[in-house]
Amino acid sequence: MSDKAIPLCQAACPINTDVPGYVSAISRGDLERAIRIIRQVNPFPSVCGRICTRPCESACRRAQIDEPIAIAALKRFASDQTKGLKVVQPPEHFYNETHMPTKVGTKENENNPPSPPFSKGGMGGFPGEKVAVVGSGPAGLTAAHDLTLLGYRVTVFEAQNILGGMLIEGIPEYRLPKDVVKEEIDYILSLGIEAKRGLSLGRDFTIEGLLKDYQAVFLAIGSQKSLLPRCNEVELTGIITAVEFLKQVSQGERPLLGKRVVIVGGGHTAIDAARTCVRLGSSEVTIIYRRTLDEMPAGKAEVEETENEGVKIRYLTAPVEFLGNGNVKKVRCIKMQLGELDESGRRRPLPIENSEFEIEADTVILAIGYIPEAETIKDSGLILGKNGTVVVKDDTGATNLKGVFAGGDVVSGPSSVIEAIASGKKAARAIHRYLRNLPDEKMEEYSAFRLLDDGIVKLISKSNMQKVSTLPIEKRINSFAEVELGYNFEQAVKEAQRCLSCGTGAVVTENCASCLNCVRICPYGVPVPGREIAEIDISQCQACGICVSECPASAINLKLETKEQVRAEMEDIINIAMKEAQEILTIGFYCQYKSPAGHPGGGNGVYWLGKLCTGRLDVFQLIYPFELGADGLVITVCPDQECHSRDGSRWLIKHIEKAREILDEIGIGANRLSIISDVEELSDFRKRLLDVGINPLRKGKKVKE
Amino acid sequence: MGFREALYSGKFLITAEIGPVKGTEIDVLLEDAELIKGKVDAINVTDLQSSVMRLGSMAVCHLLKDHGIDPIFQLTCRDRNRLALQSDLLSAWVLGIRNVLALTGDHPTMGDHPEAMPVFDLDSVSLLRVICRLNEGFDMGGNQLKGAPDFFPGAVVNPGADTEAAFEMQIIKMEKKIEAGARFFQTQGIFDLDLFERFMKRVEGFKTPILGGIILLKSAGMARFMNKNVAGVFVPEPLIKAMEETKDKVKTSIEIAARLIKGMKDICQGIHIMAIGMEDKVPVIMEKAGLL
Amino acid sequence: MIVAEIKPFEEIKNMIKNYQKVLIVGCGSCVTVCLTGGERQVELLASALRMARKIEGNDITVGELTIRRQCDPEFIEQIKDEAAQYDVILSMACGAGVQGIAERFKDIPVLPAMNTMFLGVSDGQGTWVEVCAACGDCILWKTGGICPVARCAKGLVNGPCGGSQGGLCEVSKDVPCAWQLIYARLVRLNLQHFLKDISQQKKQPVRPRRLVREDLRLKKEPTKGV
Repeated sequence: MSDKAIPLCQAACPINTDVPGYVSAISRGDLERAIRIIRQVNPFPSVCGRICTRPCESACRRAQIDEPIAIAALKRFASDQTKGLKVVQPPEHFYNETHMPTKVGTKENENNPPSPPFSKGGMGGFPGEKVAVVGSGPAGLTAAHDLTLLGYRVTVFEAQNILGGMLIEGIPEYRLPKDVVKEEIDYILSLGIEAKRGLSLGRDFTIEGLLKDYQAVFLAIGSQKSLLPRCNEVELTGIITAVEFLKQVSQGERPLLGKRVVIVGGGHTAIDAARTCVRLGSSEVTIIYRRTLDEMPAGKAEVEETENEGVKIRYLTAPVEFLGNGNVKKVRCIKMQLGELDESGRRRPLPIENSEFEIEADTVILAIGYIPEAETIKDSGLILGKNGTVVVKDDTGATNLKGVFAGGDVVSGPSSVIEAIASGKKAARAIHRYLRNLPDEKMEEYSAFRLLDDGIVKLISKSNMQKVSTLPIEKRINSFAEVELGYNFEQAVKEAQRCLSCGTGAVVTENCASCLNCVRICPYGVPVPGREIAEIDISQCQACGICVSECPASAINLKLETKEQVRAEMEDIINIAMKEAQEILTIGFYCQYKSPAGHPGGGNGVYWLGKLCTGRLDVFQLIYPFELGADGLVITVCPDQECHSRDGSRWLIKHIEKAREILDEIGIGANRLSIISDVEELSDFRKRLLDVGINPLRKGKKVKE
Repeated sequence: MGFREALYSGKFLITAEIGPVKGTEIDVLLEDAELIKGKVDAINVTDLQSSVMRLGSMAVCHLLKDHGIDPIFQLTCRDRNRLALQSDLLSAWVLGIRNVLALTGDHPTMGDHPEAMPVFDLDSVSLLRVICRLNEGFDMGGNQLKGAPDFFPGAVVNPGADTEAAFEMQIIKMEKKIEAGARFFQTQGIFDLDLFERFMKRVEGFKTPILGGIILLKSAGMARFMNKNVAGVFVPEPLIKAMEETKDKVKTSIEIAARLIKGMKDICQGIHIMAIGMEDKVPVIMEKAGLL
Repeated sequence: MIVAEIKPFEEIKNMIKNYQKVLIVGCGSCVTVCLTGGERQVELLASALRMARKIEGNDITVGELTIRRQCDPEFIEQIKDEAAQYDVILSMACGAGVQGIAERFKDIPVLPAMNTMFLGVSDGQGTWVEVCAACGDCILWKTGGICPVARCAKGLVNGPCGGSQGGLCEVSKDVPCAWQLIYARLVRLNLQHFLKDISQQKKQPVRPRRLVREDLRLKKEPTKGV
């Protein structure tokens, strides 16, 4: 396995988001850490949490067991819940020298900002150097964000009076509320980006002109010109483009559609248009699509929600002709069948002879495809492609003009938000390298972990995805209120705990003595004896941490949670407890899998520390709290068969026995360390502890026997 | 007639066994010996039996000799290295001891000084070779002796080994002992004559006299204890039942022993009685078995 | 590997009772492999000693180090600066390691935290068994790869004593009779004839043993008698 292999979700993400990292943080209820990890690569977490096409979820290995992790919903939760938090994260791995995304999100990295030129909050670094970004969609704003953090002065030019591009104009409110977009954009601008609204390329300024004031230009003007079907009478009144329609609605207009609306197309825009029609009161909304559900760019879940709202979808149907006298009245359609694969890898739809039929329509909305508005740049000297897209050298976005870079839909044609963000990041990196005269360097390509072995899949217990609650249908169709309501805390934590923590597992260091203890005790049989040291395939490791706490050489590290982190956590909690001057200082470790909503004790003076499986606690970690001054330590132990890590509970009991033995030997007393299973046992323990008194270490002298 | 002569005379051999006391009071021991004197061909004196520290075999053998009894000096490899073993053999010889039974010996953990060092520098087979070598006038290092002994060496065999492997290895080891110089064998206590007969058939070709072991039962409990804890001893259930049901345990025990001895007369070349504290009953048993 | 176990805590505590600065040195080889003397145990023992001494009102400074092997002077040399800062060294290695360190640091007492037990192999999770007695005269070729010197309680080389019951040793019901194992293996290998080899003789090695390989040495001077 290559060292460069990373978890499938992370590999599938166009910006290689450290998904296991932030999902794991959520699984411990640490939303601040989660949003830090997300923001390291993504300036649009609330947007992506709602409308991302989620390649990560399609890649998620949890599907081998039951269903994938609801990654986007978790991102949305983390982002929505931390709105007040001003988190500025260095645009880490696209710019530093190692480019290892797996390092992102570790504590070590957080405390260790990347090397200059990065400076927090912008306006540091290279204030003399200015970059113009044309277009304020996700590609443009992402590039602006990253370049600002790298220390450049960035100005964004937007033809409309409002920033956001397709995020604002193209995606309906019920799916992506405007204020969510606005908040994210305001946040980006607050880093110190200048925005010039209402200035249109070709009309108000030219690229050539920009290059006089700016050292580099990033062109991200999108791809908003609708393609029209080659049908007769396409110019009839009542036939409109989806882009225009959605834009009108987003600006608060409420066009009169009539009862019957036919939408042509099968992409996200077609679906968005159809659901918008429902909300505007049209009672018969039909989508006609020339292929089948399987080929549909819109996801199955989205299609299902659309149908729930009353939209009819006619697959294998294409328009031939629009009929009407001034106003459109009918759409003449033809049935299709699927033939050979075409260049997009999908089966080509072919008309079935003599299968024509008609559908009545008061309005027809066309959503069959989009191309860039090439008019605005046709005189710029840029080389343009077939559909008016800007031709770039490679994925750096460099164009044939020196200092001019392009990205987003204007290069790729219509694509997803996450692709646009990725494109913006790549461009920012390329611009940075261009301005700093750094040599060309290919972005690191990462391979993805292989699938989980069948033997391991069988050992993982099933647990289905937490359902995101949605607005009831009757409330939806009368308003543009957001349909998906998001998770509550407990749902989010539970969902995050379903994550298999791919890639956050055990790493064997050179300290390995090859004792093979890990090989013998791993509940999933992952470690194998290598030729020199034990080898643990991180792609298969379930990150239970049992080998870590059993390794005699302390030669195994868990990426998810280092020993230093655990030690620091313990020190923090005991310091807090000490400061609060509790007479009897009780520390509690509880299993966060068992109690996702928080510690089980509640209001009885115990300082709790959650662990993802208490089985990870080694013997040292069970006596260390006493060395720090704890008077008592309680631990929840899950029933054997319920243990998330299979053998975690059984090992924990062994560790507790050993720790109690040591506590007796050193004169602290085994009775200060106890397993508790409920609140009652906890209060009994606390009562007993009062009799036993404070930890003799705190007195600094021998206690009476 | 000494033991060696008795053996070559072809008579049915009778030996008994006594265990020295822990201490120096030897009166009882000598009384017991007196009781059976003249009725047996030789008396074995055990060497710290069961690894329990007690009076030594050589001294007791010497006393028996003085009392006109031909002793069999039991010598184990547990406590002495090859120097001590050879030296003790020479010492025994000059004290008039003529018969030696070479044994490996129990492990010290079985006895009352479990932390003692187990020596086992030699084992029963190599000890037999050493005895023969001394007889030839040389020590183990090939050095010539000034005056050589002429021991009559014997060994033990356990016909009741409970697994096939253990049984086969007993036979193999018996052959090795014969090759190393063993001139007679004494066996572990025997209670099942059929099994013993089968064993005897198996070793028929070895042409070395075998004295079947007779252990006097004290109680059913003792029988059960031996079945569980003493390797190679198996008391069949009917015998245990007889011991359990009897009103006179001594009488029954004597009857059982006598019956076994009668049976053995046709199977092997002699008997070896391990009275274990019932040495005074040996004459009665012999009488009942028709040996007197 | 060499198998060792940690001494009772009281004994260790007693050994260091007169010292204020203790350096615990773990060994990264055999005793790590048998899970008793590696970095993890060093950390645990250090914490336990600190706490025990603090309770007695006699605080102690404990240093923690683990080196690859304590039986090679070059590895020991790596810790000379740290060692100089302590009153005493507590070695978590086999007796060889303890002496290796003692030989290098002649002015610092070196104490054993372990009892060295045997040369053994792993027998599953958390279990090790003695299999070699380092007798210096290997007869495994005649015994089916099973050593009676190490694995028979009496070290018998000429076949079993009569003490086994049900294939188990007279000394412990947990230990198989080595000769039963040898018999089974030799039968399986069709090499039973080795069982009849007359009168094998053990040779006692002369201690202390040393191995000098002139073919591996350029220096003419005699080796240091450690």
